[in-house]
Amino acid sequence: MNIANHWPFYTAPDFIDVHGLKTAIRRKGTGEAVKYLHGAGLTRRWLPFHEALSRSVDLIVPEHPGYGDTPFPEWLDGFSDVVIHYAELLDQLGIAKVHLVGHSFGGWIAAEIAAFFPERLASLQLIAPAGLKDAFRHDIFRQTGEEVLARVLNGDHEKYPDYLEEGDPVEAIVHNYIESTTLARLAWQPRHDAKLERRLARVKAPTQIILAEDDRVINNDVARRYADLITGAQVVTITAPNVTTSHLPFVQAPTELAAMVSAFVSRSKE
Amino acid sequence: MRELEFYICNGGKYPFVPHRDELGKTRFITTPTKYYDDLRGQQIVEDYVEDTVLAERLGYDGVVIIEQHGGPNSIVGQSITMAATIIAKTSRMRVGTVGALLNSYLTPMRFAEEIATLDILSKGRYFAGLPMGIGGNYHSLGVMNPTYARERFREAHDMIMAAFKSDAPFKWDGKFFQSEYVNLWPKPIQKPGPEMWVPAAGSRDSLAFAAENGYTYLAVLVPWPVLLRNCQQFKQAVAETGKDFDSRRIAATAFVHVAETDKQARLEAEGHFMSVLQNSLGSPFHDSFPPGHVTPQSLRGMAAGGGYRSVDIAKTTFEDGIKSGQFIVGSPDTVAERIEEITTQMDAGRLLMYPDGWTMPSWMVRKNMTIFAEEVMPRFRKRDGKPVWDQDKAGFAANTRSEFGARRGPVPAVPTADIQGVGRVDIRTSHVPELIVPVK
Repeated sequence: MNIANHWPFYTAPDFIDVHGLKTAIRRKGTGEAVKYLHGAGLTRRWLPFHEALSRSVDLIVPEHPGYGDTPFPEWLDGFSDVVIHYAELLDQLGIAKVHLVGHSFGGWIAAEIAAFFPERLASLQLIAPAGLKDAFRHDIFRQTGEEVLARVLNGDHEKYPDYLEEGDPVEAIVHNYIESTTLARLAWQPRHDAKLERRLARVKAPTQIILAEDDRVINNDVARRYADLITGAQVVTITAPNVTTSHLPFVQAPTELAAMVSAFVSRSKE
Repeated sequence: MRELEFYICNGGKYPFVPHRDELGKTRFITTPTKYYDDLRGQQIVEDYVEDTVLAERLGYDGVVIIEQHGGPNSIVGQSITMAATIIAKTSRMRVGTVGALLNSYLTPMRFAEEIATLDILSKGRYFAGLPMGIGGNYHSLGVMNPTYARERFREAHDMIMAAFKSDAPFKWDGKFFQSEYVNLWPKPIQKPGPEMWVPAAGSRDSLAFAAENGYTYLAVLVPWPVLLRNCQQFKQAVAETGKDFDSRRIAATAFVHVAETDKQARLEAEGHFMSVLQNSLGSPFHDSFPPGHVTPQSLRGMAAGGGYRSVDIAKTTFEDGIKSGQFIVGSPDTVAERIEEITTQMDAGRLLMYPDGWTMPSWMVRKNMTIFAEEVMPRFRKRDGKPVWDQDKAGFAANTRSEFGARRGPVPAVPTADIQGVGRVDIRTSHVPELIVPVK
C-alpha cells in the first residue's frame, strides 16, 4: 500500500521476498527468536505489546498473506499454504527453531504450523486461539463494526481510542474487507480444522495456552482443549490490575502479557 | 412509443413474519420457520404458479422465474423446478429463470442438463439467467465459499458452454472442476444453447462478461444514476466486441402497478412496495457482501458513495422509489409515459416487471397484470398488441388480452346501473370514488 498511513502505532514494515510473495515484517530486539502471529485485525502497527516483548527477545512479527501490508496471493487456498509460507519465511531468515506465539486466528495458524513442523518449535504459546470446533462464540462473518468492538473489548473500546483509528475511512473499509476475505478463504466452512485433533499429538515443544478472564469472541472451554491435545501443555489466564481481560489482552494489558510470554520463552530455552 | 418486450417476475414472498425492526438482522438468513404456516405457504406457491401462467393468456412476451434460498423473501425460489411446472402449463410464451446458482452445484454439468431439458420441454421457449447469487445465499447455503464466487462461477459457465458446443466427450481439467468425461446428454434445442440473461448490480466485470458473451444485461435495482452509467458501460462493452447493439440486450426492471387512476394505483401498491423496501431488500453489509463477494474496486466505489445501496434502502420513501424508476405506479397513461421515459434513457428493449409487489394478494396481481396487458402493453407494440411469440397468427379472434386491448373499438353501449344518491353510472369504474360519474 503506497498511501501514507498516519494512524497511531503505524510503522512502515520491511518486506522480505518469500518465494515470490512480498511479505511485510516488523522485527526488533535481541535474544531468542520469537515469531508472533497476529489475529484477524489490528495489522499494520507496531503496538506497545510488541515493543514491550521486543525488550527481552528477538521479536519477528510478519503479516499473513492477505493481511496488513502483505498482498493476497493468488495461490492462497488453505492453511497448508500459510504453513508452508511461514516455514519458507523461517528458512529465509536462517532460523531453524523458533518460539511461536499466535493470537486468536494467528493462534489457529500457529497450531497448524506446530502440527506440520513440530521439529521447528522451541516453544508454542496460543493466546485465545481459534481452530478447534465451536471456538468462535459468534458467526465471525456476520458482525457489524459495533458488534465487533463490543465483543473484542467487552464494551470498553472507548478507553483505547488509539487502537481504533485506521486512517482514511473508505480505504479502511476496503482494507478490512480484503483481510476478511483472507479469513473467509481459509475459514469460511468449516470454521475449525478437525484434523488438528489428531495431528497436534506430534507437538513435543513446551506449550502454553493463554486465556482471557472474560473472552467474548473465543469460547475458553474450547480453547482450553488445546491442552488436552498437546502433551504437557499448560493453561494460564492473563490478568492485570484494574481490568478484566478480554479477547484483546495485548491491548488492555500489554506489559503483563509481554511479561507472561517472555517468561515462558525463557523457561523454554534449550 | 418505443418497441418493447414485456416480462413478468413474481416474487412469491411469504409475508407473515414480523417487521424488520422486530426481527433485526436475523430476518434475511435466519428467520425462524416457526412463522411458516403450511396452508398459507401452499396458497402462495399455488397462486404464484397460476398468476405466472396467466401471463400467457394476457399476452406478455415471457416470464422470468426467481431464484432464492433460505428465507421468507421468496418461497418459490427453486427456479428450475418452478420453470418445469410453468412450462408444462403454458405452450407459447417464453419462460426464463434467473437461476439456478451455478455455485451451488457440485458440478456445472447438472445445471447444463437442466437447461437442456427445460429447453426441450418448452420446445425452445426457455432462456436461462446466470446470477452470481446474493450475499445472503452464500451465508445460508454453506457450500459456496464467497471468496471463490466469481472465479468458480466463470469456470462453471465456460464448462457448460463447452459442453453445449461440443459433439464429442471431452476432458475438463479446471481449477474447480475436473472430469475425464464431459458428455452432455441431452442437448438444448436452441443452438448452441438458450439465450442467457445476466443480472448485474453494476460491477464492470459482470457487465463485460455479459457483453462479451452476447448475453442480455438484466438491470437489477440500483440507484438511477448508477443504472444509467451501467447501461452506458454495457453498450460500450458491446461495441468493443464489434457487434451492433440491440436494445433487447438491456432488460430494465421495475415494480409496476397500474390501476384505474393514479390515486387508486398508489392506494393498492404503497403498502406492498414499502414492505419490499423495509422488509425484503435492506440487509446489513455483512449479509449483502460476505467476504470476497464483491471486488475491492467495486467496494471502494460503493464506500465512496453513490454506489449500490450506499444508503440504507429501508429509509427510501415511496417518492424516492418513484423518482428512481424502481416503482412505476399510476393510471395506464402515467405508467406508459414513465416506461417510455425510463427505457428510452436506458436504451432498454425489454421491461421485466414485478407485478405482485412480492406480497400482493392474487386478485390484485391479476388485476394489475390484466389492466397492464390491455391498456399499456399495446402502446409499445407494432402489430395488434401481439407478443413476440404470436407474430405469425392473424385472425378474427384475439389470442391475448394485449391484442384485445389493441384491437377493440369503442364499446357499443356503456354498461350502467343506478346507484342510490348518485344516479346512473358506468359500472366499469364505479368502485373507484373519483370515477363515479353519473352517465347522462
